[in-house]
Amino acid sequence: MPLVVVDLKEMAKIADKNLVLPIGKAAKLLGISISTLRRMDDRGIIDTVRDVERGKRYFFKADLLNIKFNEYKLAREWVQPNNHPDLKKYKNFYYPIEATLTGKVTIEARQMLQGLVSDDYISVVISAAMELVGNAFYHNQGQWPDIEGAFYAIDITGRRIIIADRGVGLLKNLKLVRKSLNSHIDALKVAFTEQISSRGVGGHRGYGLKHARMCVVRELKKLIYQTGNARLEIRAKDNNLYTDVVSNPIQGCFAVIEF
Amino acid sequence: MIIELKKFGEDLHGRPSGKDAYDSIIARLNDLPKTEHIIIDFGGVNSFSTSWLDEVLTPLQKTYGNRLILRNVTNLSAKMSLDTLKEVGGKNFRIEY
Repeated sequence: MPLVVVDLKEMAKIADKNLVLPIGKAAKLLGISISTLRRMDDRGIIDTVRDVERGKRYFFKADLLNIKFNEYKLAREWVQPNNHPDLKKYKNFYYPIEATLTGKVTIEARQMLQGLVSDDYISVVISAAMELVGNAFYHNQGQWPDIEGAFYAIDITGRRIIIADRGVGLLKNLKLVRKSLNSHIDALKVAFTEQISSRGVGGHRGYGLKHARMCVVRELKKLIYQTGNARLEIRAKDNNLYTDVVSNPIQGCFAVIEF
Repeated sequence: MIIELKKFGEDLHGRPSGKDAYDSIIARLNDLPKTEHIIIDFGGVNSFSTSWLDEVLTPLQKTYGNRLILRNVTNLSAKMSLDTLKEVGGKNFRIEY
């Protein structure tokens, strides 16, 4: 597992916000042993950030709560590098064609959410999800490394949607238009804060992730987004982007919208 | 001329679909008198995304400027998509209240 250097000031900031927990508290939250949790990190099922000076690893509280959801674990496996997911295992979650997934999100998600939340709220959930679906397909068009398409799952009880792809990730795409980008974390920050797109020219495009961010900050609950070894968390009514270099790099992009 | 977006679908997302809609709209505007407004009616659509609206509205605004008017912008995802276009891309559209 690669060692990750954490800026301690940053760590203090995210610890203050209750975003990360030390391993003891994390194990207690899940009701499992410390050694099991350590193995989950080593297997790439859950991410940590490392405080190298103190030799400690910290777990993200949001990930610990999500991992109770089976589809979360499946999605994490889906984006493991050097992995060839067994498509039979993913038959309920794998969408090779964008149009099929669009139908799933706009029609089925609405049917599932109707009566639970307002129509306006549903429209924002779908709007954020569809920007992420669009990114998964259009930004990998013609350059899928292995499996073309996206993973999608919705959990109505836990109010979350997961969208993941085994594409090339943000860094490779954005490097086409900004050659100075050298790390996943820089690409991630740029993607969520600047109008930039690897597709098209002339200041056109490049709104999708900023729109998803606005949906979360103004209306929804949380967005967790990972590309390569860079992880981001956005929370409702909070304009900060909480970004970290994490222990387990993924292939492509992985997003959880909580609503 | 009034363009009803609900005729393009109940959920309007994605750039390819937006571009198709734009091509269809622009074909109908060829013979439009030079003083006539183009009213884009948002009523009856369930959800929007920024990408779809950008493909439709940005080139229309470029061609028709202030003659382009958005009507019935009541859906929350529509309002937020227009806010994204404004805050990120500096695009201001004339909205009828």
